[in-house]
Amino acid sequence: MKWSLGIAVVCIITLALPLRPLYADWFHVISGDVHTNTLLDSNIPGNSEYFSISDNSSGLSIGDSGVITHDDASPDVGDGSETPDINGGSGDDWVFQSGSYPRTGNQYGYSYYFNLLTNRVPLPDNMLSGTCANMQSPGVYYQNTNSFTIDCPFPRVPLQQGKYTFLFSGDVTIRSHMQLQNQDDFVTVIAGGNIIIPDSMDPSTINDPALQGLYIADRQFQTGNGNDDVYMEGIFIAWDSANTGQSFVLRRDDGNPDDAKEIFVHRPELLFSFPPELKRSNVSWEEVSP
Amino acid sequence: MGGGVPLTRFMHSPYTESGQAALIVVLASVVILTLGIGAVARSTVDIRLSAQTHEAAAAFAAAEAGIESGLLNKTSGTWQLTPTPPGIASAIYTVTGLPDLSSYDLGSVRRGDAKTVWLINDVASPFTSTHYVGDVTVEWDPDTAEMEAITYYISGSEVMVSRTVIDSGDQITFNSGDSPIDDQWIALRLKPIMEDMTNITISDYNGSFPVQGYRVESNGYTSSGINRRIVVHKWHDDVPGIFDFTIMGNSRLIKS
Repeated sequence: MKWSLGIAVVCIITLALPLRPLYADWFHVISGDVHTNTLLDSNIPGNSEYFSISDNSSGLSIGDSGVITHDDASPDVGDGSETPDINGGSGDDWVFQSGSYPRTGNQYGYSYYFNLLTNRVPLPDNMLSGTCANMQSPGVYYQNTNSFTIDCPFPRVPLQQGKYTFLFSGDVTIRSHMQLQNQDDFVTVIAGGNIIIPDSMDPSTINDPALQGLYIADRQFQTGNGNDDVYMEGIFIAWDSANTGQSFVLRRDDGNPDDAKEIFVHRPELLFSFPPELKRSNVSWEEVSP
Repeated sequence: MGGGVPLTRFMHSPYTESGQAALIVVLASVVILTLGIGAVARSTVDIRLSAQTHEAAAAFAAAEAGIESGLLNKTSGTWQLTPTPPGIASAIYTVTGLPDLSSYDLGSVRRGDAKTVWLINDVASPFTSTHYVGDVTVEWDPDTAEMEAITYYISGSEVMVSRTVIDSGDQITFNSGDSPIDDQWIALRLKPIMEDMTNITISDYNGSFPVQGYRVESNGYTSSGINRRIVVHKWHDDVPGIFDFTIMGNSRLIKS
């Protein structure tokens, strides 16, 4: 009886411990801020790498590394953020256990934007799938279905210049690269379910990224189980509304622990090309005595 | 009893009856006249009030139209329907750039959120706009709050970022010539890290500090002299702070 009780206690303790990585490879960020409302673990090999690197290490012209905020008593962020180290401090100077950041209702999720963007129109056939020959002008498009796959017979989705917003009520799998034409362009993908980058997506490089723009998943952001690098530039948000306990499912792995397989890259120009309808207005109004 | 006049004598006198009738007619006339005058007076007041209400509404609508015109054109002017129908109000509006004082408040900012100080004159054209040259001082409350300040600047044809984390003190001054900005900054994003900020104040800028928004004051008026005045402060639209993160997860962010 005592033996059984001990087993039960061990099981309970084991289940209560947070799940930690089983994968050899790791993920990191170039020049961007990172936040998680719970645990942060990049699986950095031997604490010999920065979790957030600057353009000094990346070779890109972006600037300083980012600030890392989390709610993890023992985060695995390797040497932390690169820039403070260059300035003579510790790389952990820019790593903060900030706790969770508050969210108001369903703000910045699928239903929030679906209600906000009243200029939306249904996504036409053969625009993001099939022949992809029916590319429309920039605007706000929505697709009401449980799952949708963005898949074009071209290396990239043939987006025109301008600002596109795509609203998907369910899961969206992105099989073709989505890239911007120039610095004024913007693409937003908002999913009521998961955003999935499958193994079958064409390989990406730092000069040929898989994704550019703003990507918001009400549930999870998943990168599949392949062994190709995935370069993603922009803003990536996952709300885990199904309460799985995990916002990003990052399982790319080629067995070499020196490789970072998921590389998230900050794109500062997105702040200035942001679609007006996604911005926040600040107006005060009063009638005064004539 | 014998010297008294019988009551019945008066009661049946034709003179007495005609006098009573006259009195009743007079009283009735007074009552009717009073009611009539009251009704006329009330109608007059009602009509006047109704006209005033209508004109006040027209003046207010004109003031609102002036606000819309001012926000759209960003220059002072007048709003008037052309040709102007009778009874329709007009508006005179003035547009001034914000800030209109030597310092201004960004208000409170929750941790994880951010607010922007624009350092170019044309926020719609960051690559071609004139850059502000000079100092900007940022002060915040509470003074224990850690803050990340992100300076966006142009280097060649690229937008780049320079970051500063302030974990002690309650103010910092930035200069356009700071390395690596080199007078090419576009905007400053201010982000509380660990706790909410109750206020952020911007000061110490010079006369060429870029417009951060507009104050529009519009006075709607009618020909009869009814005035309504509206004042609107509209700051430039801002990107919510959550979009400063390259990765943001509501739950675990781990390799798994």
